[in-house]
Amino acid sequence: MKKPLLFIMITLLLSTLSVSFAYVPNGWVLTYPTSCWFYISEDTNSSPYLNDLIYYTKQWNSLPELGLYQTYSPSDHNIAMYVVSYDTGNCALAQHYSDDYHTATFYPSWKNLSLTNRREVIVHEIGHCLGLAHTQSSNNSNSIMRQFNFNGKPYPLSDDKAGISSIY
Amino acid sequence: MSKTNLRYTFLFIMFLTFVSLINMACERVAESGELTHLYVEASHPAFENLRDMEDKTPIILIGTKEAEINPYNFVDDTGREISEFSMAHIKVDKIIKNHDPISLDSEQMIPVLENEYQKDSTVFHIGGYQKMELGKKYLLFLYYSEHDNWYVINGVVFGKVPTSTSESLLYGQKGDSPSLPEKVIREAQESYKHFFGK
Repeated sequence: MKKPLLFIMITLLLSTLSVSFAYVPNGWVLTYPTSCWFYISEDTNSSPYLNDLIYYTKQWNSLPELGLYQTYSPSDHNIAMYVVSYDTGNCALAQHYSDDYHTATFYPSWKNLSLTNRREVIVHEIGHCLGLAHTQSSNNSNSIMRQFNFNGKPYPLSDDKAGISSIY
Repeated sequence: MSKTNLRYTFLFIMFLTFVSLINMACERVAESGELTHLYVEASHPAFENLRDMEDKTPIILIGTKEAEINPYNFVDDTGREISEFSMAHIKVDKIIKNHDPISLDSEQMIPVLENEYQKDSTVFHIGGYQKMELGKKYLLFLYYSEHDNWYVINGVVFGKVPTSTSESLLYGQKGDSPSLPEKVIREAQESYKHFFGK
């Protein structure tokens, strides 16, 4: 009796720890992750940042589970990106409307960041749209999804890859 | 069943209960009454400690929340209708620091944007922000947005400090306990407590 119980207890404990000390899914799951279309609202606010928004969104294409492509259709896409001029104190915000429709909004505080940090925030917000929440702080150096501050690496890291792999 | 087996069965049941409680505590969506609360993913500036926040904040004051508009609707300069925030009307009680060119006076009412809003029966907490309670006093670390003509709480969750230490600080916080914002807020409560109640 002892050994099976001990085995079950250790398995349960490990599964709980894996939730607490690794990537954290946010429950947003795209139906077709290899065919994810993103749209950037083109106006005077976003025009200086268009190239970066496209290039750093596509950083997620280094993962085999994902395929992100730009579309110019304002009505048919999975992720809509906005650069706005009103100030809320946030750098950026990712919002969930349905499994296949999310928005990422970038605020003036984002524009004021250094170039590398600004790019890191783009990858981070798209990470939310793909299903990742903020990681646990113990994983900060291995994840673009760290809640505070930056790694200086604007691309998905090992914890993010493990997270996407587990979701898709 | 032997006594040893009974003991192990009891331990196993206790363990299952413990694991279930941990998982329940980690849920990101909670229901309270008829309202559903949701955590909204956000990135915002962070401060390492109180000194860091003080150095990077032009306006520090104590104010009372007198009214709110929730959600606060406006049209941005691209023509999009925005209703994802609420607006608090704060009566200034005590100005501790004002390095902004626009002057402030005691008793003045100022608009302060809050990163929580309600739509139908759902309350959205942006970055885990919990809005101020009506009639209560707060120590606020602010800056003025000239573009918008409203005041912004610096660091979103960092710069709103309840003068009551029993008030909850964040919604849906996972991970470190206390989190970085909680540490900075508690430090501010301790450092500025001589201003509270005046």
